[in-house]
Amino acid sequence: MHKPWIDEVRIRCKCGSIKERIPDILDVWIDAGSASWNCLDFPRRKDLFEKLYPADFILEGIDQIRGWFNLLFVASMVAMSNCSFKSVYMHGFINDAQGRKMSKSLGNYILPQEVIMEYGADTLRYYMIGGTPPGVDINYNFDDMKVKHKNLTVLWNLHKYAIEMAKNLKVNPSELKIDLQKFDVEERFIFSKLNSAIKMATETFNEYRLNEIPWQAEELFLELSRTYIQLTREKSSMGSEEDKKVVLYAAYNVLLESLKLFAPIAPFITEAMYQNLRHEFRLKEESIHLFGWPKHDEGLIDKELEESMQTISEIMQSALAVREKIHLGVRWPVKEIVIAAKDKNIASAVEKLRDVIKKQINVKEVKIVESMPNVKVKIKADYSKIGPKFGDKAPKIIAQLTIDSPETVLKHIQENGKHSFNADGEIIDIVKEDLLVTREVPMPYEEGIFKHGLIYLNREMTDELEAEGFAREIMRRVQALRKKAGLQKSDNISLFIKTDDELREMLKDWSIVIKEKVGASQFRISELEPSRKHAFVSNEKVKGKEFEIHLEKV
Amino acid sequence: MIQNYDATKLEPEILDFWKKHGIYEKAKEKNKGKRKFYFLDGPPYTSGKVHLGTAWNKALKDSVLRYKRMQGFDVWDRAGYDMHGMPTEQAVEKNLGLKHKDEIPVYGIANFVNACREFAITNMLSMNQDFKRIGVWMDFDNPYQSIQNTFMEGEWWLIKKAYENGRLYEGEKTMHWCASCATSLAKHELEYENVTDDSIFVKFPIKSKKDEFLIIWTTTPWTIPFNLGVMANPNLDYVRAKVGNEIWIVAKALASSFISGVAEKQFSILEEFKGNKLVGLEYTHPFENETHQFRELKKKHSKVHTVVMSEEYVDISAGTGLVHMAPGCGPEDYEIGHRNGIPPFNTLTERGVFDETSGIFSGFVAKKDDKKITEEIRKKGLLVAETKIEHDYAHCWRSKDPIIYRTTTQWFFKIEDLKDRMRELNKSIKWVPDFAGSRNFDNWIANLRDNGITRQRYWGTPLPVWKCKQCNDFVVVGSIDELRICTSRGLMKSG
Repeated sequence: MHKPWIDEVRIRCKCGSIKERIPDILDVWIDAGSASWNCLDFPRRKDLFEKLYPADFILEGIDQIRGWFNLLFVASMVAMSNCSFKSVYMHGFINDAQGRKMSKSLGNYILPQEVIMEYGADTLRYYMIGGTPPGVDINYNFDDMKVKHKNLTVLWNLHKYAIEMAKNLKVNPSELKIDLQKFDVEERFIFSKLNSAIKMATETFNEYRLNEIPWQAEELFLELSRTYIQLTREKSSMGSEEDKKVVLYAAYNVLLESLKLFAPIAPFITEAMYQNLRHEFRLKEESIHLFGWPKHDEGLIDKELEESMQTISEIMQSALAVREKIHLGVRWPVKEIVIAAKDKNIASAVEKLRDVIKKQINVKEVKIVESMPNVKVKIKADYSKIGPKFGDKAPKIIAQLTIDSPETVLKHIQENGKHSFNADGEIIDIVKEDLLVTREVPMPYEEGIFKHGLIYLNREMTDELEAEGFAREIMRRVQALRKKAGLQKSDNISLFIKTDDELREMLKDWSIVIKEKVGASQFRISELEPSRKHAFVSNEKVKGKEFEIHLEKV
Repeated sequence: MIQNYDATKLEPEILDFWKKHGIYEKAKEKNKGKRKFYFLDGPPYTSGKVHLGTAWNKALKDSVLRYKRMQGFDVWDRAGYDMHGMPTEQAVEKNLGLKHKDEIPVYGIANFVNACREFAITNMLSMNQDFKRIGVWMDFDNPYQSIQNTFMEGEWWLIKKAYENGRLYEGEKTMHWCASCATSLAKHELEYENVTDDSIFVKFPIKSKKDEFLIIWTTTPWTIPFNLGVMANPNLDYVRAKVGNEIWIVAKALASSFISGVAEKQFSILEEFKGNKLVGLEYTHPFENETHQFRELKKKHSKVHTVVMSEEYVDISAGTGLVHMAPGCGPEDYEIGHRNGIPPFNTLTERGVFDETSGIFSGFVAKKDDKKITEEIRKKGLLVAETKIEHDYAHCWRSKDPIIYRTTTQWFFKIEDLKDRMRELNKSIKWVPDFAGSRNFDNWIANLRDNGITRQRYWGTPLPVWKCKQCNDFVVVGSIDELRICTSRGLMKSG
């Protein structure tokens, strides 16, 4: 049918002469413009056309406004007086990180093969699909892409965690049925996040807002990993059988649904993870991609809880940062945290999730106030800035700043960006950078900041708190030695701790708890050598105190 | 123990898993007969390489398809490829060592076309693999291909339908033309670049007067030989200015900037009047004696080489307020010429060279030889000034060369009158983002012009029109079957 063969076809003309084909060919845009029915082999076949036409969805770049979108529409108008497509997603172009077009001459040209060989196709898809809003160019940024790659590792590790946990519990999580009553606030939170995510992703996909999907799926599985798993750390390692089953149930089910949501974006990793789960737990479905799209349960969505958890997350981050600043590890209990915030929502979030805060940052008491009393704010002129900036006016300005009240100065700066006053007839504007601000926080508090306010950690260490800290640290070391010794959770041990009198005194009240937590049927602390040799020994040092752990299986 | 995440190891394994267990096929089978979802793949060109942008495009598509399948839709997901056209011809020419379109018949058109087909198919297969590697689940085993007979017939159907609906016509039109590609260009194949060109101011002697001239300005000296009129704006103010021994007609607002500034001459105003007073004023073309075609044209079309009116295309932003009109050298000129019964006149060959009927200009290359043509004007004593101008000029999006114009016989779709209906229908299309439809696409449709649909090259779907050289009767064929009938009634070899 192509040239030159078609040119040999001639038709007799009624005038007696011969009709020859006009030698021209059709513009390729006509080829593409006819795709809406040609994709269905119409008019050779009629059935597909009748069933399917017009196209429900097309997706191309912005250059097709005057290209393919144009010809698709023109062709169907000319032939059938209708429009050949119903919905369109239009994307932009790909540029380099500086927004320049990619070209070989600029040396900024990236081949997809290069990216795939190093990071895999999932990372490429995950990064690019969510990389920019529709109609907007994407400035390809390797650093952003690497973050996505890291996230995939976080996702991957979630299923390792679930499988490990199931192994230890000797439970198949796909067969677990947990009563909602058994849910703690952490479980209610993550299931709320899950159902919110399903609801939102469904709506988003239906609206073809494709670039938002990766972020929604990502938020869910990052939350699962960074919030839920963290919040349930103790419950899952030291809790009761029941508690552990609840955690396993939540982790497994939320993970599985997350995989379904994320499968259209990153089909490889979701499949691989699913196959591992399938193998481990004898799941029926052959592939993650054969599942139906999840349906959300409106009854499990609690927006207030989600917001509250977000708020206290920020508070806890800040508290942990303060602990780090004063070198007080989270294993050392702190007497009290005071949260200073004016927003009533903060107060109610803290109220609701008080226990979570206590557990996570290891504080005994949580207090909330509107603002912390007795915090002294002092301001001083920064000579290194004021001098060069104001020259001979500097002395006058420095003097003025010792007179004006710090609260007033800072208030002006917060409201107007500057604090102004008159110095020898000239208006002087002082900005934040011109000042050295110090906050004097009353003892024994250490201040930290979060999005909506301030926190104060009470660093006073009582004997009780210290004893608890040591006890917990010892328990952790004993557990570590147990693991090193290859002992199973069900094995009982005989435990001996050699240490000085002081520590022995401190641990007096904790011996029963320690025994139980570490699975010791026998437990002694003494300054002296143990009466017999134990199979496993380790030398430990905690906060300057030295001690030896001796243990063996009973 | 499960290993750590290693994408480069894991992904090929998953590809094998899907292949071995036919998971994609199972996913499709599951939803057979349910609610339909017709996804139409915009066919990428078989250039052979899947670029980052193409990968991004396919990944976005794939995410929707996978979602819809999970939602239980019977998803139509046939991939498609755009396989005809210039880029393939150029690549094959290069591979075969052919320097220009003219060498193709020497090499053998059949050989050439077969080489094009092979090139396109090889690239398609390679691109199929690339798409599969990034996890795209579409029907790549049976993609729609523009080179297949079924497909080309589908285009013949379109041409026939256009003809039946009165929307197919053969026309002589002034087309944007690329001399190096030797083909006409559609509006969407133009790229505008900011360039610096020479512009000239020329005196056109007014026939009924002595030493009185219309001063015109052009940025394309090569179009002067094809000039057939001068456009003036009926609403603007013009002046007759005394410049030395001569009288120059220019727009009032531009008089001093041009006469004093550019021409560096002193002048005084003799008379002021509105542009409509100039209508019908006859002038002598600088090359009247050298161009025999002018005599015939003037005999048939009385307005040739007179002043005509145009509100749209004459303003005082630059030049002299008098615009030289060559209907064979630009769509706007063509439009005003058409309105005044002045046909296009253009003797350039496919390669943009003035042909053997072009008198003293035969052999000159359009645009490249602007200086030579300016020199001829100067020899006649009709060159007033030369300046440099910076402006946006259209270039061919393939060769990147500046475009010229040719008047050729092309086939067209009549679509301008569909504009309003199309804008109306566009409102019902769901566009993401919204502005793509309400702004971008709407603007484009609003400026729609009739589409030229033919090209003078080798690798493409043939235009299904057979014409008799004797009586000019033609037939539009809509399918192979129809062609068989036409030829069996007739005679001769079939292809």
